[in-house]
Amino acid sequence: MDCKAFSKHIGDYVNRTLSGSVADEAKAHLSACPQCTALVKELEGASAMVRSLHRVSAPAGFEQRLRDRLAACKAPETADAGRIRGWLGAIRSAFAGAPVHPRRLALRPALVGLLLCAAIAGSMLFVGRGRYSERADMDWAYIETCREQHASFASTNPLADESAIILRERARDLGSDL
Amino acid sequence: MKMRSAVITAKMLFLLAVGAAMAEPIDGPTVLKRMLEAEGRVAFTAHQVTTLAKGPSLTSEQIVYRAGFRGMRIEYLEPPRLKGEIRADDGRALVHFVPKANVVKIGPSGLAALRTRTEQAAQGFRKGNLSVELVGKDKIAGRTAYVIEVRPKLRRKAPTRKFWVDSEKWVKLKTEDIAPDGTVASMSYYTKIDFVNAIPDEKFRFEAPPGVRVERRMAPAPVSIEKARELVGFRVLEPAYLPPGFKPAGAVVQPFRRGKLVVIRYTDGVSSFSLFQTPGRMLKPRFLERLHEGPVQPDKGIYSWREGNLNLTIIGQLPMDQIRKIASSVK
Repeated sequence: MDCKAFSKHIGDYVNRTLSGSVADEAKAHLSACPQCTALVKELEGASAMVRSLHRVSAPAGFEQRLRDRLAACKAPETADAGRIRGWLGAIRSAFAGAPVHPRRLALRPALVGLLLCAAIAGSMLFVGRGRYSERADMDWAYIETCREQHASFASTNPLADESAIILRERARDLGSDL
Repeated sequence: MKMRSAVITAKMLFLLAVGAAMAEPIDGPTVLKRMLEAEGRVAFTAHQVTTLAKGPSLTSEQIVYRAGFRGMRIEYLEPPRLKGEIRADDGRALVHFVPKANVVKIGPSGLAALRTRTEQAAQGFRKGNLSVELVGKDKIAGRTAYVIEVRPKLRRKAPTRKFWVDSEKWVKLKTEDIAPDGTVASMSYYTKIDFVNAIPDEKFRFEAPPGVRVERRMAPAPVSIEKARELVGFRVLEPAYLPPGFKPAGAVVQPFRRGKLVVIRYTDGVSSFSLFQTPGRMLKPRFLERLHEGPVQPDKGIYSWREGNLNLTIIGQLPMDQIRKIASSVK
């Protein structure tokens, strides 16, 4: 048994539910693999801690109510979620042939998937922001055109203080330069 | 002999009394009427100070040359960033020289539009849209001035404009824009004014010095709203609600990107607003949020929105609640 095969049975090994030849192979692997041994010890420690906690009984019918509620709340899988699940599966299968440590094996596809998702999300955000920025520039240019147009109209009102209108426009053009 | 001179004196006194009785009484409307008439004919050179109190707080000093609707030239002396700038308008084109940017901007004449607007204002005034009150006499630039207050008759919360009008030449020597809350938004006044018979035409022209970039921006002529509808390929909308006293003052159609931008202008004689319409994919919700609520630049006096494929904007000197009310009635 190698690390990858052991990782599939590590839960049963810690719970002592493994039997037969699989249990013998697992024991043989642990005797030769200090990394899996350390992992088993960690899991056994955590399991012991959980077992040492006081048991609290749930109210009658709690489990059924919880199951019913979960069933009612379960959202249908979206196309995006299905796609992400597919990508993760593909990444996992890509790593399937490589002989690596089970913990790393478990983490690596998730990490790679996460990085891939982050890269995709980041690039989408970047492209989106670029597009938004371009559109916002267009929008501001439109507002500036409107402002100029209105100022040219307002300044020709014979009752307007045209020198103030002109000065206000120049102040807006120059901003903090004034 | 004594008898004869007494008769002559009596006749003169009688003629003076008749003349005085027949002369137009000096009241607010008379001062405004004469001020509007003087816009197109009086020539003078003056030193002017302009102060903005609301928005950017700023004071500027300029030398002004004015010959009615024939020409106007403004040379900026202060602040330092504007010093050397010249605006020369000969009634056909306005040339704006900005030495610090090494550019000359050539645009449509403001004087030609001013002539039209003066006639429209005189009409509006005759129709009684404006409330004009003579509030006193003052001295500006060493000259006696009548002080009048002008406000739209039909609106309670409206800006007021106060003019100091020369008692002989009827030129406005000082102008104050007073916000609806009573604070002064801006003012401009002459510290020195010399009335002249004429100013040479050359003063109102400006040739771009060698090496200076020239930017041309010629605006299209105003048309009626009906004509604007014919000129564009989309449905031009109009507001069902207008604040009291406001009326359409024509429209302008100008090229904008690959399409056209329609501007419908409205005024009550004192304030004005413009309604802009152009089709296309613009004004996304995020941009509108920034425009209306900040945090970057909450813009007062501007309201933009989308209606179907149209991008619409209202810009004007009106309270925001009025602008929103007009916008919600645009159909």
